[in-house]
Amino acid sequence: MSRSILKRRRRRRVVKDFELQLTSMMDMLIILLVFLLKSYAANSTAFSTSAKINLPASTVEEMPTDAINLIIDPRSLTVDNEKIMDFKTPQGMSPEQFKDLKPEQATYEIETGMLAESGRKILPLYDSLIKAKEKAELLMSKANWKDEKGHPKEMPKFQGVLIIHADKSIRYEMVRKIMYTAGSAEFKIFKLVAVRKET
Amino acid sequence: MFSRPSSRRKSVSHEVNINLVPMLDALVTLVAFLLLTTSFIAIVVIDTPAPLLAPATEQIEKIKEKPLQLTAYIDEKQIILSDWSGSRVKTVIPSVNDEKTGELRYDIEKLHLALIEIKTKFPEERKLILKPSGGVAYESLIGIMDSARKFEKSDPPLYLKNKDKVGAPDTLETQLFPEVIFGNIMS
Repeated sequence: MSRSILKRRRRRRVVKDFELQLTSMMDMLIILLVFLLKSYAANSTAFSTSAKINLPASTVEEMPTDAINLIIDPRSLTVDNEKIMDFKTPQGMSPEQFKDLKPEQATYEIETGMLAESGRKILPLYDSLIKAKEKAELLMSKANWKDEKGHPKEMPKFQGVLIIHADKSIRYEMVRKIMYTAGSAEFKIFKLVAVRKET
Repeated sequence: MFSRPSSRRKSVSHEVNINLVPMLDALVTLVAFLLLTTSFIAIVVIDTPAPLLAPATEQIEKIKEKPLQLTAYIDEKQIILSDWSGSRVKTVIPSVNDEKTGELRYDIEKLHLALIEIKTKFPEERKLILKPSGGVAYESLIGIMDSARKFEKSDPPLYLKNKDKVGAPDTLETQLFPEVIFGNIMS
């Protein structure tokens, strides 16, 4: 009983003009801000990938540039944020199960009607890449090209860079089909996306 | 008679308290925004050019230069390195069992050493052609490309003679075979 009364009295003895010391908190926040700003500066280009895929790890240090993005996720192919086709549902799997398909369960099978040239060319992907190429060329033609001295110069040729995002468990057979199709659509440089591995 | 009190004001020391609350507000907002938008995983890209068929005249010129055509044939059980240095030389690198998982994996360390040996013989060569079979995992290919592209810090250094200036110091080569191409895309 006496203890509880003492506690209550102590509580009442709170100084009225109490001020919270914010300096240490400010210090901590500024350190955090500097760290975040530094790591923010490392990513000069806004770049996003699919959460449905596990990217492989690599020791290279080249950062991604602005180009056409192709995402191969367990269920579909996406070109520049536009889904272009779905893969076949694996045998014995319901549509609900297919919706939550994990990369390890994926078969990446394509309907035979979507393939051409002995199964090497993926037609919906080819059409989409041609469209993306034409769009890029149109945008380039509208730009005002100037040299270092400010004189007008010729429009550079379409570089044909394709950034490929694929799960680490995917087989080369599928990557080959993608590269063959992109090569047919005049894409000449492939950039394979990976997560940087510290050495 | 009393003297008149001094007109000099007595200096009163005032404690100046800076109001940190608005600054704190701004900082908290900024930190929250940066935490939400910053990605802590660094995304990188590996370049690989598509194999292009050169015009016939260029092809004849290239054959005259006798390219090394260093090729790595990759299947599930091994990597075969083959080149055209004189006659076709082959180096077979069988896959090994992983110590942790017990699964079969490519002997990347041995491949890297074999590539260093070839690079020492042909220091000007920069190209490696990969010909994987359809069942090879993408992750393994990325690992092979990584080991083929550059020297590791622990590797013996390779110095190249400076061709531009006579008597200039040799330059340290850091790249092994930086141009890795998939050679069987079109076949």
